[in-house]
Amino acid sequence: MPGSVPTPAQQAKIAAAILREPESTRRMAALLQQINQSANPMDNPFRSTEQVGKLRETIARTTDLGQLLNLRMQLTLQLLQVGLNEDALKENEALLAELRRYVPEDNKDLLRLLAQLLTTNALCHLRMGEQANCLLNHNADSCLFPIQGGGVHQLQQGSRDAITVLTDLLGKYPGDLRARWLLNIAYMTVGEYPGKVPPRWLIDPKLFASDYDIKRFPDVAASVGLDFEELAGGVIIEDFDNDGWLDIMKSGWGLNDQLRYFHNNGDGTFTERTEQAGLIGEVSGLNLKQCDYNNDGWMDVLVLRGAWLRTAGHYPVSLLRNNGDGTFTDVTESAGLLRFHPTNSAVWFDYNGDGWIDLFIANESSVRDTGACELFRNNGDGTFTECAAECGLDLVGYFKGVVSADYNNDGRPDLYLSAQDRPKMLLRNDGPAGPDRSPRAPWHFTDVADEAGVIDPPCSFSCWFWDYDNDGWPDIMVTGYSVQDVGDVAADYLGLPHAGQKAHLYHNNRDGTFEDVSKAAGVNKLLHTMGCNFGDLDNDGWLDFYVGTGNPELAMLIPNRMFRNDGGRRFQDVTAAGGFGNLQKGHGIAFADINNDGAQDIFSVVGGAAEADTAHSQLFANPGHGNNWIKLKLEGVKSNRAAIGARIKVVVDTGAGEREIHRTVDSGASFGANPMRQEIGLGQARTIKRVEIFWPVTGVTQVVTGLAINHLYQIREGAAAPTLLELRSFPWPAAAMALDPVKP
Amino acid sequence: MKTLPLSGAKITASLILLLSFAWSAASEGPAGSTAAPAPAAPAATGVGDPPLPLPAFAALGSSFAQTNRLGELGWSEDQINAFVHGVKAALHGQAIAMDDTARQVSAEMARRLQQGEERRRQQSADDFSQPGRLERYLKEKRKRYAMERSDSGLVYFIQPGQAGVRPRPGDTVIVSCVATAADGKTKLPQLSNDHAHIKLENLLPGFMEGLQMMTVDSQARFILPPALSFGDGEWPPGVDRGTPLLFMVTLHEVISAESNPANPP
Repeated sequence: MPGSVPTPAQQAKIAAAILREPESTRRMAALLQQINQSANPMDNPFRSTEQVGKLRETIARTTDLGQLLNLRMQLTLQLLQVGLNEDALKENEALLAELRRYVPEDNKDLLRLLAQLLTTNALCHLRMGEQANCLLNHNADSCLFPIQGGGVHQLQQGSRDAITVLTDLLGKYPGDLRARWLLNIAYMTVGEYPGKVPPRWLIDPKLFASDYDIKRFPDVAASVGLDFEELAGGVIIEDFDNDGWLDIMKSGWGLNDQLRYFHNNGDGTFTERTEQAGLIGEVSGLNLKQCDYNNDGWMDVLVLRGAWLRTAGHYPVSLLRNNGDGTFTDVTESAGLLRFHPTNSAVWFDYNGDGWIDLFIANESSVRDTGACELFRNNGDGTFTECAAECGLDLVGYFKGVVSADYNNDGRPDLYLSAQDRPKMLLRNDGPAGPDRSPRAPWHFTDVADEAGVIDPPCSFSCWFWDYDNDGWPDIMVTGYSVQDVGDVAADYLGLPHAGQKAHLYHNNRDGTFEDVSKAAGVNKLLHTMGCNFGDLDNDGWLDFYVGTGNPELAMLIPNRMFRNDGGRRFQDVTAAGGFGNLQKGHGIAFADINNDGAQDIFSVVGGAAEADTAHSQLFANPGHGNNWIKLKLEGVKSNRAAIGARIKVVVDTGAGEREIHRTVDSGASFGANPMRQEIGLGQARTIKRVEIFWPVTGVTQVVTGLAINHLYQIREGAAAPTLLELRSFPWPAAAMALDPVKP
Repeated sequence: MKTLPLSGAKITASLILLLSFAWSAASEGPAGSTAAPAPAAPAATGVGDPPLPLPAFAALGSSFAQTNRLGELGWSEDQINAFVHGVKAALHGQAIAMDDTARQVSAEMARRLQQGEERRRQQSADDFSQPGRLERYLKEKRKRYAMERSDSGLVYFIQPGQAGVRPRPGDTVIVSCVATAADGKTKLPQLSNDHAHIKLENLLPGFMEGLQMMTVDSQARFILPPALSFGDGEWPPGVDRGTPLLFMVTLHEVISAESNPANPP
């Protein structure tokens, strides 16, 4: 099971593989293992196996009835988290029976406890159904909300028992929106939604209907060798071996979850090359970010660890240098990046414009565990120097997202930070703090979030900069991350008041301020986002976005959501139409044209935090929409080689006039990583009039002409002409693409 | 009788007790006020008690006068002396009885105090009627207390309670709340209550919206802009018209409409 301790045989194999790796990688593997082994499992609420043992011991010696009740309720939930659903149900039903026997029925406290226990009972049944169907009998429709077609459970006992319990619960507590939501889902899983849902509890299917009928994107993960059942994690899609095909790197957050590398064979299959790449022992990591930190032309990888674990999250990051021969070497220590704070977010940006990419890590500080954010200046020799304090970036907060863009178009990349415990921060890069203008000088950043009007929502997670309306000015999206329970999500669909925090879209006013256009753009919704990214589903030139949703609670069964950008004005929910609404926990997301057919596909890491909350990752294959495109692979010379931060303006002739499409080179949103090569939809444009590339380091705008639509070009900074790169493609498996589309 | 923040005619005002001389232990005089020279010798409060400093008594006197806004009564020096004489006489067991003239004076003093109160209230309300004042106030509060704002304009922060049950229109709630004025300090007992049973629809619009966001046992902080409280309607006595109102709320219980035989589903 992911996250669990390997068996002795597995350990021997792992040890043998690690022995073949470079010494620095071996040291990191040993360090990670040592931290795992020395950690107190009771400090980590997600180490449920150990928690169950401890709870059983405590229960055995507890005599106080109140405490006993509380402990047994905890035990039930931990048993569920371990996946011992039947044991959990047995324990819960025993508790229910005892309460009914010993406590008078008119006792209000009993009534409240009954509601909780009945919900847990329903959850036990739902988990049984989910594991027996969505996991053990997984298919491409499994857990896709609203559940239909192949997603309907074959083994229905779990869901039917859940329906009985939830109906009973709602009879007693009609205002329980959590129960109502779960009841509707349970009916979906047995194929009886909406027809057999009691009308008073029905959530109208119209509320889940898409605003736009985008074609269905079948999940082809199983067909191409990318179907793995794991916990939460991150993903990078990138051409790590520069063969023209995009590969996949995926992490899992479980303490023993192996970082995995999948090579794109260019024929519709992937081969796992984790061991050959020298990555065995690189375990755990909730998020990943790539970058060519040493400007050698090979994309390197940063693994971010310890998120959510507070005092138990003192893990290092890993910087994995791509050796250009299919292998990676852990260079964290020699690069000066060995540090131990919990984090799931970092951004690569060249803050001092010296052509070497720097690194900002947003840490999670909590009351008893403070670890300020870190800024690592790239020394240009393979090492970094931490300089957050001298640049005023030693910020303290429970930060969950950081992204970079030049929001004020002054040529210097700025930062935007999302936190759970403080207003958002927009850190304007003011340049050198003093007379020393050298790259190693102290730098100055100013938090202008308040004046800019971008401090909401109070509690947030993922975020991103993007130019959603193609006006050449980066806008900001940040998603709320606070709910009372899944009932808030139901309330959001039903249009009822709720306390869940919504997403905010800030439009750049081009004067240093932003306008909150969430409502007008149709995104002021409770998305409860973790993973996220953006791309162009239909190559219309307008950026769409996909969010992975949920939280560690097993009852938090909510769909991942996809939104299509309707001409830079509004966003249309296309979750159901595209088949994107996985109900399990959504984490790292990447948009990328994996089969090089011109249309971006989407890879989504699915899986939760609890030991047993595993799920199948998904690869949504783009069926194509008939629009044109261009792919640009930029190569910095004076700028950092990966061209991070370079601004692209594509000017096309639409037949009705010119149109501009704007992009910035980066890996996208804060949780997940798109390839650095820019895949740009052109809509029905007939010709590309020119491409303008603004290189912030030099301030030069390079104008490139003569580019043909539907091709991939490499553009070197300052070079006279672009290089046309061969782009071979493969079709997605016909059988997988021929799935009967389920229209919402 | 105190009530919850009910809408419309259900407002029950707490009376303003004029010239009641009730001591408000929590109150203090305004900073920077100039005190008159006070006796320096210590005073004793009773046999065996340690002597207490006389300046403190003088300060008490000043605080008393300021707290009760005696300065607004416009008394002459002779009237003040006569008032102090009456206080002394009562303390010495020789209280001077209230006759008709004294009652008339009392009523006149009450009128003057009420006028002062109205003036202040108007002044405060005028502040919020200035363009952008309310927005700035709400923004500052939201930032300071990490509060969200709903589409309607309700500003809120909710500390989750038990997951699950939440009130719907038609339900009765059992709820406690402490109301304060926009300054966050001035208690509004007339809008506060403890474990009140009330039907959701009978509450102020913002309060009703906020309660529907809560689950049982959750606690919340609401700021109701005027449009979501009494709006253009009648405002309760003692509550500054047109100002935001702050509430600390605990939702104890939800009694569903269906469980009441008078309200079939």
